[in-house]
Amino acid sequence: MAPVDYSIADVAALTDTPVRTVRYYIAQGLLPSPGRTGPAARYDDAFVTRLRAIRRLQEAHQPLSVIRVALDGLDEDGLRDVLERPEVTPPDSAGDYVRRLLGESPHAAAGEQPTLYRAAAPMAASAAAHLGDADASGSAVGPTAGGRSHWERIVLAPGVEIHVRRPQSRWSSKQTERLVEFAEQLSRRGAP
Amino acid sequence: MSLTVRSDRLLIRATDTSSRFVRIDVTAPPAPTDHRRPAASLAFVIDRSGSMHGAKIELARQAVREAIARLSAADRFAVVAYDDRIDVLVPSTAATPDARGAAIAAIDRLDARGNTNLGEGWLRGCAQVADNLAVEGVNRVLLLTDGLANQGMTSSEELAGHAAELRRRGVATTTFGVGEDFDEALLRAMADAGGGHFRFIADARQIVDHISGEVGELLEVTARDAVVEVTGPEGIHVDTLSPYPLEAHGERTVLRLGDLVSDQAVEIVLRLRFPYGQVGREIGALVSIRSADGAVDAGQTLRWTYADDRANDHQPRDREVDRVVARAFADRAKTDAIRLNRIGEFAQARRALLAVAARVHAYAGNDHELREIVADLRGEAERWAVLQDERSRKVAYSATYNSLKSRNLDGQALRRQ
Repeated sequence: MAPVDYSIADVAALTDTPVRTVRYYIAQGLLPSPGRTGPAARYDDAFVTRLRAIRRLQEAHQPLSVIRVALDGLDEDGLRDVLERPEVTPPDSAGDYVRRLLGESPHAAAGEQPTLYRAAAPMAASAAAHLGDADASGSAVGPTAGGRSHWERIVLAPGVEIHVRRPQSRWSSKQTERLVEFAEQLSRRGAP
Repeated sequence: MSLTVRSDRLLIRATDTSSRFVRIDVTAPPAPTDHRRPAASLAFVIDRSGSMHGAKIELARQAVREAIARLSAADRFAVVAYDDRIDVLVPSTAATPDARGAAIAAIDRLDARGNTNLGEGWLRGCAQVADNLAVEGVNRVLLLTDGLANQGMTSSEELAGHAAELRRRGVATTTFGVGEDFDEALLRAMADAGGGHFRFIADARQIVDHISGEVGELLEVTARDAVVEVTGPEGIHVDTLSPYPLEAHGERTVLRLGDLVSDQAVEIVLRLRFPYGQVGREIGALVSIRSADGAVDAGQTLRWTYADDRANDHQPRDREVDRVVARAFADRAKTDAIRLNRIGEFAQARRALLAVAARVHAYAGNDHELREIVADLRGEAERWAVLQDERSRKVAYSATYNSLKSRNLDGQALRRQ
């Protein structure tokens, strides 16, 4: 890895965090002190990664006390895992939400919003409705109490994909991960 | 920016459950000296049903004209008018001098007629803001009506539910009720859930002042989407006497304050219920406040100690906390009494107020302010025990609401002196 040498202004710009907030986190012990103070202070990549993880958890409305515990003792890899978790944000935008209420959305009749956060291409409404029916009749994992769920498309191999309704129970989520891992092994084995 | 957190009492019962009140005082940061502010994306949604005819619609036009004159080119605005039909008079546009001129011409053609499809009118305004969100700015729909929602979506729960969902997605709602015929419970529910304010306009002549006051505050926001969080060990139950949406997530309770304006001072009252525990054991809770833009970020830990009943009964009280708690209970009782008066339940209205008076009296001691609250409640009990006209009810309702939200009688944010 290239040697790094960020000023506090660089860190603030890289993470879109006000300088005084960075200083606040340092004062609160969420970030390590750079040793030196003032404009001469320098920060490394690990510092930036930790700060990004803090911001990410704050965006998910985690209080600092909880963030401190969650990140305590995590190395850079552990912090990257935190950063790669899916975001806890509303499943659709305000615009989509309003249009659905006004009956202007093609998904209005399906009663749910198929929003994809891994896949780039939108899913056809009919496919979403069909999958919804299949799920309701055969699976113990229904939509959440609020009725808000969304479909994630995971491409297993070229031309092969699965659709998963989120959120899932922890157990189903693990099973899905195992399925994806298994598919990856298969496709590696099958590679020419 | 400042945060002060204090509890009415610091001992809790070892052999029984206890409720303790927490007073939180928040002051928003001052406006920056270089006058920079976040951009705003606003939608004015105006009721133009038949009842708005005459002075009201003329004043609403004037209010919107004056409000858009205060925007700058970095801001956006839209104007929607509704009766049984919804017209987007001005689709969301950057507030350049040309656009403002064209908008004024469109607004001048706005006239009153027809029924009131409040729900769809409001949603059309939301769509204008939603499709033109001011990134890291202030996004707000301002809904002005003098009537009921009597067409389309009319349920208060449904509209408030959508207001909450839209606030989660970045679009907040402020509501203005003019005169005596609108549904205050609906407009308040939409504003509370929607992260904005409900403003009562008793007299049509105040329409311009109220809209101008609200837009002025939106252009002075210094902390966007502020959230109070309480984190405590399992078993502590948190609720609030203040009218902000509250969400419980296990050990975390989140109270959404919405946008705060320059130097705004807000008082919040929480009630914490503790399980019983071992004498001498300490129990703590972290109260923190944060805004989406990072302008506000602070926390303070409170600690309580389990003690026997005798120590509990003789412990000192923080009168500064007692007073805001008593005022909050009094305001809530008045809101309830006004509702009961409207449906003719006069005896019940009186009882509701006297019950709170008795409770406050029990711990008032010689405290002058607490005794005044008791006397006020007793007077109010007699007032709401007889039929009152709708105007008096709406004036009183608005006063209690503004008091609960740390606002003055005109609905303006209180500022640090």
